[in-house]
Amino acid sequence: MSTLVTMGCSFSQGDGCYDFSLGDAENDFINFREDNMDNFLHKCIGSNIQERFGYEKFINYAYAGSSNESQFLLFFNQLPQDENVTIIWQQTFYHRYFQLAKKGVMDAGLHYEWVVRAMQEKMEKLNLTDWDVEQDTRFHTLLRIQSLYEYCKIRNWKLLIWTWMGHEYEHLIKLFPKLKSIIIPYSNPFDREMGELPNEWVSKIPNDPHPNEIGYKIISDGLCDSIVKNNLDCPIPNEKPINKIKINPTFITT
Amino acid sequence: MSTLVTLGCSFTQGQGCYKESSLDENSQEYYKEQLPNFLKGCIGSNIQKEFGFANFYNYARGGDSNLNQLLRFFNNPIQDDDTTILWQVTFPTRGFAVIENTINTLPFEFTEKMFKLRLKFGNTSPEDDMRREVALYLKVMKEYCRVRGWRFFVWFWENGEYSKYSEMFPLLKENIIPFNKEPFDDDMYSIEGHPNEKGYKKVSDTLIRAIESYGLDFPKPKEEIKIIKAIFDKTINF
Repeated sequence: MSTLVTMGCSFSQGDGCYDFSLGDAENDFINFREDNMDNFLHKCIGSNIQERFGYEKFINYAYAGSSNESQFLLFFNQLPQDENVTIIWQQTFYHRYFQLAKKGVMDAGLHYEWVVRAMQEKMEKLNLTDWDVEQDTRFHTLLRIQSLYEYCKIRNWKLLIWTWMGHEYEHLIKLFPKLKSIIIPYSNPFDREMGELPNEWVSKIPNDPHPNEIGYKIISDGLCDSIVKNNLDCPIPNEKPINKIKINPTFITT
Repeated sequence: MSTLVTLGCSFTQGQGCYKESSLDENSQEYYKEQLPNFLKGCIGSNIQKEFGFANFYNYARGGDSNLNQLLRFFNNPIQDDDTTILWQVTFPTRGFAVIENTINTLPFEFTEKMFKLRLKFGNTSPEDDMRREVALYLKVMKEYCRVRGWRFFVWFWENGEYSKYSEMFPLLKENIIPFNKEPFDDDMYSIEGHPNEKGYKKVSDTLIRAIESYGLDFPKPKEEIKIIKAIFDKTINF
């Protein structure tokens, strides 16, 4: 039995795939979005890859606002019990950070003062440019990828990564040529303001920065085509897709 | 062939085991010159000798955070099969940072500010949340050791921490060595405040006693010593 695991942020969770018959998006968005979680799961990128390559089971660890480190730790906190596993990890924005607060995960980003201040202070005290700081955040992420890669190697699992940010592939390959064997060369056409894209590709919620199911299908097809074209080490088991499972972002520390 | 790996901060690196030198004590050259002495007098080295591990690799580094140690290990993974990891958990308030493409620790002033800002953002128990973060890192290593068939043990430099972690994270209890430091004599400190080789010998002996008195499944291979090496590379290898 084959299992596909996806990791990432809202873009891998499937945020933006709304069924408007499920609630009142305008007046009760929080519950409306929550009620659409199953819709996200069935129309997200991982689900499309599962259908196209024929994985029996699909497990989605991605959640909105997640940092790369949170995905790494969530995965180890709730490991899949299967043997024949392929992981596709979508890298999200590097300025997102993992933090625990009040016993729960509260990812921090540029909306957190300490993130911004720490970056500013690092530049000032160590005389670094914003480019230097950005490069360091790439290394941060790389170290997590490397740790998961080592784990997958021992378990004989497959690991592939891709980045939401359109030009990251070139940056990463330049810095770490060895990544080439696990990174999907994919230039994401959706890494821009959704308003610049055709209406039929994006979420119908005003100002929602996410694609819809058509958009995610375009991305999924692009990723699958790239995997095949570049002959990456990704199984195509051609089994009947049966299960789709969403992992709740609960960190079990007991 | 058996291998012992130690992870930790300066206390596991062996900082404080200085030998006489003609170099200026405040210079980088002096510190570099002393590194082999740190390795020789460190806790892992004493345990290697006592239990007879053929190989000993010390990943510990002064000032490292717990996350640094986890990532440093995966940045230089070892290929040996019969391995025991002994991880000294350091202060959970230390932060990890990549600075100019090398593995570094967040300067303390950043850490202090982050701590204050966490409080400001309504976090009522930042110390416990930091322990939870550390527990997540330990869990990654525990799982890696499980699939490799390695043994994994954890101990804490700060007295009292082992009982806190054991209570908060029962799943880690089997990996935690119940250990509190015993008081040092005056001649067990180096001039800069770290223990010296005598101090580290005392810590090692107390750890060994804890391992034995609690009947922990810690290997005693009794092999001839072959390798003793510090994994000190700050550069990220990929």
